[in-house]
This record gives sequence, structure tokens and C-alpha cells, in this order.
Amino acid sequence: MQHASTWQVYGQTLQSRLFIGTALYSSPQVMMDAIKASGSQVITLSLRRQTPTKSNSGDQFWQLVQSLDCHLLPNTAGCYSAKEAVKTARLARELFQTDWVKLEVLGDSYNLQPDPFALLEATKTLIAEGFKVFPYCTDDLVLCQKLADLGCEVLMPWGAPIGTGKGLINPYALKTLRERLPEITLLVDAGIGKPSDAVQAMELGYDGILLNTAVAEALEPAQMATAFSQAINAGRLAYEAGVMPERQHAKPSTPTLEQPIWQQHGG
Amino acid sequence: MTSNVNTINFNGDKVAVESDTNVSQFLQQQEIIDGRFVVVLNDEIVPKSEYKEATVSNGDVLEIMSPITGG
Repeated sequence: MQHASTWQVYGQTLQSRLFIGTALYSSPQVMMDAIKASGSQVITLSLRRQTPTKSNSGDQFWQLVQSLDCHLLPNTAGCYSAKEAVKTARLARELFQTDWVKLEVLGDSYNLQPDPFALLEATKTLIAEGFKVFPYCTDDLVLCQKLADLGCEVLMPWGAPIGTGKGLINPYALKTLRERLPEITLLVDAGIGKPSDAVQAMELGYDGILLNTAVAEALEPAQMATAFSQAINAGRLAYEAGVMPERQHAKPSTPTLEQPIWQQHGG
Repeated sequence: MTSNVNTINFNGDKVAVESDTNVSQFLQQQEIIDGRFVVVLNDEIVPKSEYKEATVSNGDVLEIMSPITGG
């Protein structure tokens, strides 16, 4: 199978364009099988107050994560202020020994929509501290421009609210981001439900996809991970190959010259 | 007479500790296995190299942050 081109994320060269989450799987083994099937080289994870003892399986999750040999992208999930998010990011850097952070600052608990103002504030602080920020953001052009101006090399606008599987609710906004921010690495994060949603984003020129629920909640997570991997690759290949322009009128694909006389429809 | 026992908040629970207990001793007492976690004492990260110097005092808040799944 032909693979799309490699790409760069904050100086790291990656082959896979799928970032995958580690949450919501029915068991650790199911998670491992799905991540391996996805071919992902970047996994997201988080941190919480938890006491690792022998009686609560200790740090089994960490042992599994290490065995995957992937880049780690810790998130600041559940934070509702810049202050909380910055604090969580600092803890994550210490815990996971990485400057990468998926910055989530939520503004609404109903649809888990990012708070654009707090996101900018936290991004500014974290970039000044040397973090490589992957902001989970809305598809608002001006917000994304301001995040890029602060120094974000990567932006991760939502396709739809987290966990909804609604796909790309606003393709126009996502397409506009691609057109207006050609130098920025763009991933659609959140809302992807089906491989076809991922293909749509990749055909728009997005550099990658971050997803979790769509794989974890599939009946066969590993098989779905494979499906997403192939879909994302196909979408990127199509983008690189150059998608034909849409036309309003039909145009025959079979040559019409030298048709037999009885097929010539004069008029 | 002053008590030799302090009470701290450990991961949300009240826990009694003897005076002058350092973080390293406290982790042993709580049977915390050696692994990947970060100790936070009163909102400040305690580097592993400082576990023996950092002591817990009455009213302290000590948290252990561990990796968990996330999307």
C-alpha cells in the first residue's frame, strides 16, 4: 500500500497522521490492540490524583504505554481556567518528561467547547515556558490566527464536540483555516465518528486527525483503528494527488470523436 | 505537651503522620510502589531528588499525580 508523505510535528518526523487517545477502551488489552492496529506514533493520555499501590494494579497503564514506544501527548482535560490548565501542563511535563501538551481549556460543560480567551492566555504562558502547545480549539479563524501568532506550530480545531461523532459540522470554517493558515500544521481533533469524516478532513488538506471515541466505542476497536488508518492515508494521498475541481455541468469521460454514425446525436 | 503526630491531607484523605516524616518515608508508609508519578506538596512539585529533604507538616496537602488514560 502506498503511504502518504511523512510530516513534521514540532521537529519530529512522523509517518502516521493519526493521533489516538488511550481512553474509553473496554480493557487494557483492547486499548493496546487498537493502538497497535492504528499504526499511530502519537498517543494522548492524561494525569490525575491517584495512589499507585500493589493493591490497585500500580502503574500498569504506564507500563503498557511505555511498551508502545510512541510519542506522548498529555492533555489538560477537565480544566476550565487558564490557571488550572497551566498548572496541569507543568505537572504533565514533569510526569511524562515531554514539552508537548494538548492544551484543553473548556468554556462550557454542555458541549465541552474550548474557552478561546482562556486558551490564548494559557498558550501565551506555556509557550513562554518552552512548551510545545497543541491547542484544542474551535474552528474560529481569528482565534486560530492569534494562536499561531503566539507561536503555535500546530492547531487542533474541533470537527464537532468531543465524543459526539458528528463529523465535520462546519467544513467551510475548516477549509478557510486551511487556506488562511498554510504554514500551520492542522489536525482535526474531536467529533470524528466515521472513517469518511477523517477522509473529508484530510481531503481538505488537514495534516492529521486526533480521535479516541470513534475507535474505542466501535464494536471491534482494532478493526476500526485499521479502517481509520487506511482512510486517513487515503485522504492524504488524495489531497497530495490533487482533487479535480467540481463542475456544474456534465462532461463525458469517453472520447466523443469518431463515433459511429448511429451514435452521433446532431442538433 | 506538643503532639508528635501531624495530620495531612493526602490525595483527598486525612492521614496521620509522625513529625519530621519526609516524603520518602511517607511514600514507604503508604506502600506506594516505585513507578511513574509526581509528588506535589502544597501545590509545589517535589523532585525525586528532594524526597528525603522535604518533610510533611501539620495541615500540608500532599498529592500524587499518576498517568491515566486520556483522549
